[in-house]
Amino acid sequence: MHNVIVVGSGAAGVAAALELSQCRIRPLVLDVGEPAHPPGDVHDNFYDYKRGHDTYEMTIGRDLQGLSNLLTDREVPVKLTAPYIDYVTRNAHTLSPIDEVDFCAIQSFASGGLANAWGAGLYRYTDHDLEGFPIQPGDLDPYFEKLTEEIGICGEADDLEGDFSSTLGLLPPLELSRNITRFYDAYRRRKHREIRIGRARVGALSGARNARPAYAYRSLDFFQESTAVYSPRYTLDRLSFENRIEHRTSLLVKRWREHDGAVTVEARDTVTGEQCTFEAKKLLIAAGAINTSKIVLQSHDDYETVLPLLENPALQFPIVLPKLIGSALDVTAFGLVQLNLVWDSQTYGMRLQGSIMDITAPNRAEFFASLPYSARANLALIRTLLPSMLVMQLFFPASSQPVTHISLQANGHLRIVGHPNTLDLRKLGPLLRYLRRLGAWTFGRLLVRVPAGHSVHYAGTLPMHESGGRYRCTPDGRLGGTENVFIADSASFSRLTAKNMSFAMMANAMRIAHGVAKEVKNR
Amino acid sequence: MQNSPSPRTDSTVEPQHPDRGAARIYAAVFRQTIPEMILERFVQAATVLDRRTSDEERVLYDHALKRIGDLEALELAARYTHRVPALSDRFRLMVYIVETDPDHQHYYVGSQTGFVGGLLSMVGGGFQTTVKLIKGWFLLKRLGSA
Ligand SMILES: Cc1cc2nc3c(=O)[nH]c(=O)nc-3n(C[C@H](O)[C@H](O)[C@H](O)COP(=O)(O)OP(=O)(O)OC[C@H]3O[C@@H](n4cnc5c(N)ncnc54)[C@H](O)[C@@H]3O)c2cc1C
Repeated sequence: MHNVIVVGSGAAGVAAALELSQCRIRPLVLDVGEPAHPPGDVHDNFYDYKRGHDTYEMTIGRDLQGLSNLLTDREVPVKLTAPYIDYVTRNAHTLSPIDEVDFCAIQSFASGGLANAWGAGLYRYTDHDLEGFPIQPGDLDPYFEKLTEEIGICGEADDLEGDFSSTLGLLPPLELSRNITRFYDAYRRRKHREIRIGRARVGALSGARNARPAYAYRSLDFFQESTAVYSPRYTLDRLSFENRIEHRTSLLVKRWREHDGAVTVEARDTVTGEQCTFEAKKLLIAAGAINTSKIVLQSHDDYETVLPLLENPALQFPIVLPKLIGSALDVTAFGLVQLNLVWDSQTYGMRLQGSIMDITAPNRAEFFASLPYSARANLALIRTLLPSMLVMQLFFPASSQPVTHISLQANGHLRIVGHPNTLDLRKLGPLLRYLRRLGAWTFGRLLVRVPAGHSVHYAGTLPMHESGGRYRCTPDGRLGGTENVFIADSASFSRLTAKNMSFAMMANAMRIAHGVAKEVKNR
Repeated sequence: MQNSPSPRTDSTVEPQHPDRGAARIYAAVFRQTIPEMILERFVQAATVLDRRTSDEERVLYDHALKRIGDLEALELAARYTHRVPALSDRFRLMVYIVETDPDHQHYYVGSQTGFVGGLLSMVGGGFQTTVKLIKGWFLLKRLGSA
């Protein structure tokens, strides 16, 4: 019998496995584990490379993955369409079909999970974010510190220190691109009562570390993996290599049964189709909020209960810096989040968080359809206007929209019923006016309501509660009604503020794993 | 693969002249004869698009290829009025595919023109767009009555 089984090797599962291994427990990690593609071999700046090489296979791919948003009805975040990253969502809808209404669920069955494609914006939860949770920020702090060391996170003390908390252990920030520098300088000259802007906390290396290279500013962020940007897969591989975990792949976990103080986990081998069972003293489920709920509902044979599913509604809009119109494209811009904005909005009556990015990384063609001119003139706009642009993604707390619901149907499919994104754009007024004062323009027509599901921050299906309860967790992560089953991912979140939640989820997974390790040792 | 394109509707109408559409659209955007490699790639992807295009849309698209000279103007008006999405989708497709070709990079990434140069280019584009839009509306009417 194993001491502990962890289901899932995404950000949460890996964080839990890391903590268990540090507590000298060697967990069995069960996962479907779609493997990543071999690393790419472009070493030039992508824009130089494109002038000398055909990039069809890199950007569109033999299976036309890069065109999937145009060729299929199912639109997904652009980064997920790149051929190098298709393994992240490979087979997802075959392995776990979902009937969706007004929701687009993004699932991963890859080793490392969705985080292989993430923006790596990693933020500590503070008092504000943990309101309504039965735990305190102090409970997560030791794990934030361990994770900061493991991942390598850039950032600095600035106006967002109060929102993002301690800067302990942060690496020096990455270089800002030309456009972002100009924007940030304008902010520092004209601050705002409600709006704070500062450097993003990103899991990317500004200097080489533990065999990972420093980020190289080559505009490849959307088309080739760089180990400078952290993926939990790296920790997983290391722990596996060092024999501190047992990692078994090609296993789709179906359910568990508790008996005599132990847990039996039933899984299907995705290659042979055979059923297998594994036994452990404790089970930690970290299959992503959606699939964790599925495993829980399947284990209860429950085709009736409807669980809540929290997600961050979001808006996206381009920002033009008019003074930079006609400048050359800054081909060395960091392609993920460079700045964050926190807005204590009186109009919305809540705290919102924005991510500000350069738009150098995606294909230029990605912008063609949203520009207003005729085809040839749009190409000219791509050359003259795009180099002066940034993009902002503004995240809202889950509570700003009606709750989405998730349930299991008798045919084994999940059903998710969401709501169209109806965020009120008029209330953005103060933010847009402030941006204009900073010399940064956006236009109402260009505001996009991000489709429900696309923020990919899913949580709260089995929320933590002081006293636990059916389909709830106790503060130590134990699932109500069970003795030895724990929920280690964001399914156990009680609430979802506008802050990207993965870092807090990882710290919480470690906290729960730590408690589980203690229980195992005390037994 | 979750993101792999799959057909939306089965249709009994055979897709017509994908290579003819390719040549016309390429010429409308790039004012040249379409290179063989781009033609092949366009046809491959357009075949997938064809399968998810309704019969009605396909008929309109075929009519547009046969009867309308200025496809760029038609596409602009169609885009603004949400008509003939099959045409706008194929323009988009072409722009994606052409970007993968090293010889076409100058269409996507320009050198510095300076603020005035950039502004003039944008104003010129706005003027060109207005003219095309007016023309496109007439073409759209003609297509509708065909
Ligand atoms: C484009 C993009 C950008 C993002 N940017 C950010 C960001 O900047 N900041 C941030 O905080 N978050 C971001 N996110 C969200 C973040 O990636 C996710 O919140 C996080 O990765 C979720 O991790 P997880 O471990 O809960 O689940 P997942 O990543 O979904 O991993 C689930 C794991 O469980 C396994 N699994 C699932 N079901 C089963 C089963 N039945 N049996 C066996 N194994 C199973 C899977 O194989 C996988 O290994 C982003 C996401 C995307 C797609």
